[in-house]
Amino acid sequence: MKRMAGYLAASVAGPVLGLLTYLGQVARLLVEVLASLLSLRIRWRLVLAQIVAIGIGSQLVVIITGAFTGAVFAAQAYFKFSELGLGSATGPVVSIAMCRELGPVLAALMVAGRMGASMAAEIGTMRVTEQIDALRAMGVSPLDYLVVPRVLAILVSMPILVGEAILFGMLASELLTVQLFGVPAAWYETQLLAHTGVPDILTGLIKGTFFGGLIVLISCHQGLITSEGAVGVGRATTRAVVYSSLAILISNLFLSLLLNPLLPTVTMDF
Amino acid sequence: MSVSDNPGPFFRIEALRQSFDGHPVLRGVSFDVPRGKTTVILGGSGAGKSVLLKHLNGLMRPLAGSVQVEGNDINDLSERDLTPIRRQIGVLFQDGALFDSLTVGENVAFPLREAGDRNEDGIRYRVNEVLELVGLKGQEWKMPGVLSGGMRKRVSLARAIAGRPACMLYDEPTAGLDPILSENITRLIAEMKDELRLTSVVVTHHLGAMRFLADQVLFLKHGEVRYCGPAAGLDDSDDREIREFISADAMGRT
Repeated sequence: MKRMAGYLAASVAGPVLGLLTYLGQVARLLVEVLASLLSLRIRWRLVLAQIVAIGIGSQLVVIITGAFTGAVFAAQAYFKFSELGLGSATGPVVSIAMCRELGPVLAALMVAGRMGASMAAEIGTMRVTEQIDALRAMGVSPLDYLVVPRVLAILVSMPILVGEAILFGMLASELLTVQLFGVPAAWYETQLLAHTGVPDILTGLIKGTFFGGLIVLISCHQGLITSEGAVGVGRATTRAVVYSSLAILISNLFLSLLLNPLLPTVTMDF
Repeated sequence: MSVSDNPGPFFRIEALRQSFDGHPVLRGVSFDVPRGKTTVILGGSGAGKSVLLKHLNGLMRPLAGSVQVEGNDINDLSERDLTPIRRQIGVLFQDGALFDSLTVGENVAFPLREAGDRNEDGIRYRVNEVLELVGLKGQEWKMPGVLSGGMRKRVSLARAIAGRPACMLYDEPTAGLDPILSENITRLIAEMKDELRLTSVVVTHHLGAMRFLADQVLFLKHGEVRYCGPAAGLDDSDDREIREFISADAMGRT
């Protein structure tokens, strides 16, 4: 019995200790990034290059994701609401869902899949091929050179990408609801504008920016701790995407609970 | 104290210890690297040669012991405080460690720009100068991905000397190269030392390169120094491991 309890304690303690160590390492990276930002050692040319890679490079995938999510959500909402004679509620429901949840979460998941993987692979490859040692040997901080530009670029890009995901989701929803289901455009738009406020959009942008921070910290951390050659790079890339996605989905719940009282949605009245 | 003022050795290593996952890699290594001379660190695979080299410019921190550069103990220096010391020390990494996203010219110009040089004409001139020195003039627009192993090493060497370091560290400079390229690189290292009057530390397991380059030899086995002295003295050593190493190399050449 005693032996079994010991085995159970060890099997629980190991992963918990591992998780705490991992969170500590990411938190330390965050502190170092903040210190670097405060010391204003910013390489603007690299920031610009990363904005192009993250922001401009992710446009299409985020727009397509936002548009089709908005459209399919509108279709499902309309099918159910029209049975209750509430077809006109489709617009506000889709817009609030897109602004507060779907827009930021799906845009972040797309960026995590696209850029998180790329960051971990690039930095991980630099690590195993001694390019990071070469930077240090030349007196260049890998943090200033590799991590800080990506952090700044994602903080600039994510609100724009989330805004686009929301916008195209709402446009696709309107297109489907008005053109296919025959809800009058004026009625749809009046309802949508009446029930979508600045707090909804702000919630989406705040969440998106926070998720961007998570993606870049987790992915860069995975890259920086890569070892064991090509296998290690593959492992780091997978972990960056999985950990980023989990962090986005888990933190979204807490952000929703935190932001809803601070930025309440407009009361619905049909 | 500047390089010329300091009469002591360039590096002084005392009782250096390092281990990975509880496995000792360096066991109390002590030696001096004389200024303006070439010290060759010799030993078989897994002897701790590359690990020792990475301690010399603070890329790795020891568990115990000290590394002094120009009389300054670097163990407790922060990464930022190490910067001026590291900029005096060029490094040729085993596989070149060229930045894949930059052209050859940008790689070579990198340390100059990072050191704060804003004179683009001067940088271009220096890049051409060092590329010519390593026999790669006119290759500055190529990407590292299209270069052969030997060319990558030479570009890496050009990058390492571009900032006019006082010392060069070479990690297995001839590893993975054919005999002709190996000889070219070895000659290039000797020329660098003669023309630029560099203090050099070369990690290798090639006795031929050692005999051509070394003013002083350090033989490592399982993280311990088995011999430290002039190259000629290595052949007279009574140490069984050294004798085996020399005879194995001789067999490899026949």
